[in-house]
Amino acid sequence: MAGPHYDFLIKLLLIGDSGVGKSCLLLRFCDDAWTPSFITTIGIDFKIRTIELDGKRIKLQIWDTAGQERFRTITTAYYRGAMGILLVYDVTDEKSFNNIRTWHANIEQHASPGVNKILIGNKCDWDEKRVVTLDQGRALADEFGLRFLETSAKANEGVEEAFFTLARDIKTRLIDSQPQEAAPVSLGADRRGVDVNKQSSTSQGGCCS
Amino acid sequence: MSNPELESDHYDVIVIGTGLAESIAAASLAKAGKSVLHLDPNEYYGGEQASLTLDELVEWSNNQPSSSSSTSHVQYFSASTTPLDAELQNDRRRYALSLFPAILPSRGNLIDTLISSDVSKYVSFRILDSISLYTNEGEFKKVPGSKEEIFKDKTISLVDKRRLMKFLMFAAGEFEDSEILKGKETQPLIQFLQESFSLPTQLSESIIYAISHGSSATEQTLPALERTRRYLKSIGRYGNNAFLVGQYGGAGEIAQGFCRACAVFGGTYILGASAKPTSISISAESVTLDIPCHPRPITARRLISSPNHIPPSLLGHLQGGPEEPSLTANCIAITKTLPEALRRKSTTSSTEESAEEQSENDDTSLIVFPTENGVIRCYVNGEGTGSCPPGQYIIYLSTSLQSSTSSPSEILQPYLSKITPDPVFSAYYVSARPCSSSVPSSTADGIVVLRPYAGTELLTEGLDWEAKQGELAYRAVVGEDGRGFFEKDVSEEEEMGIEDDL
Repeated sequence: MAGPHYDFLIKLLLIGDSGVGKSCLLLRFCDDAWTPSFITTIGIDFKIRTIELDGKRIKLQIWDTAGQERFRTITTAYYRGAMGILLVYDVTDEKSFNNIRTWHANIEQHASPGVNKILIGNKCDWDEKRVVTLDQGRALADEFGLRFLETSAKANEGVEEAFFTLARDIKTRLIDSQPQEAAPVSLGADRRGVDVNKQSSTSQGGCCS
Repeated sequence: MSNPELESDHYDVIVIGTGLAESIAAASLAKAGKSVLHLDPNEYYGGEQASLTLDELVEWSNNQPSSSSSTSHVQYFSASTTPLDAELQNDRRRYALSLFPAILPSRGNLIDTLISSDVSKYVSFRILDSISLYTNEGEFKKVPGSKEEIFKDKTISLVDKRRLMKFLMFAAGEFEDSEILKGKETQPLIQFLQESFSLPTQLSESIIYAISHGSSATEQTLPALERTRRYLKSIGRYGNNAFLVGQYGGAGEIAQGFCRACAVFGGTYILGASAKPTSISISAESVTLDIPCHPRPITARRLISSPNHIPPSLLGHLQGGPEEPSLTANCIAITKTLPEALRRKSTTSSTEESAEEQSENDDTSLIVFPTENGVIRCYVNGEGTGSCPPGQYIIYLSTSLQSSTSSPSEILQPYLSKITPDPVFSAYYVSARPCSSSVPSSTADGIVVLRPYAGTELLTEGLDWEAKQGELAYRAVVGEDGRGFFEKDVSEEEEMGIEDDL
């Protein structure tokens, strides 16, 4: 049938301190691009990549913080409807690792209960600057009951695996447990919702046409 | 990282307050390439339009003064809440309670701005399910929203249906040049409906309170007709009701959407005590302010703010005004039982609707109580709005007050009990809105002051007012020859296509 080229739409968020490489992970995963010149995130709203899992086309809509993490002013609206969250720190920046606790608390406060999460230690290629060990990362992940991976957006290590792992967990939680759906579904979509960019097709003119 | 400072000491524009108008102004200016610093001394987004969690609402209520003082900005007083039981305490974060409960006409400034700015992708809406009028007989009567519903309504006689349709055709048209209206522009609306359209009293009141959404039967005919026309033209754009309900509390969520848009275009955000200016001064060329989180003074060419964040000395002689502010009594309540007014009765034409639709009760509703002392409006949000846990309803009540010594609970509680016999939580407060003539839109060259909504139809007019203020602030900064408000450039038009199937 004509229409969207996917079976499911999944909304993911990136969370973590400024400078840990959230946008670089996003660009690597969605555009297979890398740029060292990011200082702060300007202009990235969200990016899209459609992947295939067990024969299903899954459209990942991945949202970036738009720089609002810097002064801890991420809107509560950012968390609405998120099905998975990548909690990112920088293995060369201990503070970003310690702040994971704060970000984790924020997620508990604002995201829907049961949202899938994965802890990501980025910049793992930068051995000479590393201050957070693999074991430290793993220990924190165990404490919170999170999956854990180290990645390098620059060297393209672990990036695919990180997003695929999270997507697979969400698919297991939300899709595999559901009865078979015939049409593409946006998980959590509002059946009675209104797309304000589209006119109503059923009732034109209303009362005075 | 924990105490970052700003990357710059200078911005094109500083915006204080993250209310809807301020947020729209900030996003539009960032979009037009201006560097924007957006501050809010509150810990939460939304300012006057904020949506609060239950615990935040209780704290907010505790922080309001017990009585009002004469100022040029919106004030709240006589606030009180009932205590939170263990269950409410546990679920406190699952509520989005609006300080600016309002529904959005499907045609108007805000919907246009949401679409042109593309902020519509951050917020979701539903059609308002029903509008009801509380009758003299003590019943909730659904007001027919469309031509089809009017024809189906068995309680209106055929003759009256024709009169009603005649009026609705008139009100939706170019009535300014009509002979029917000539000389009657300032006539009380009720008189106009009865004399010029021979509408009976009860039907006239339905029109006044539930179609025109006026506050008084004696409102002047022309302004009431202009408003009515906008609402009538809104019907059918997205469904059989003129109004949209914003998810998660509405106005506050929409304001956050514009703030995100501003951030995507490079705007910087700081909230809370570290963003509260300790001094603001203006010179011929710029505005200078100090905030705790930055070690040096920050300058900007323009400052945009609502009046409450501007020192009185800078508002100067324009502060206050001869007119008394308009007072509104407000109630926010929560119930765990279906309000009777939202029950969908199966008496009206069960044949055409599917069985599934029949079984669903309304999730959102506007209920109007016409009283001798003015109209009392009730707006209900169910779980479908995302603003409360499943099976619960948030009830907003409001009415105009004549005296600041009146108790909001004494006035509104009797109506709350008509909506629900057993609320599990209720908050009451009075809001004082300055008359618009007493607040300037622009004081000194450097400062653009956004005017709060001052009328009595906040529920249906407030959101579009905010959008208009945001646009006016944008124009005050870029000038008449500047780039258009949320004007798209060509590359964006191309990008839009990719996102079509989201």
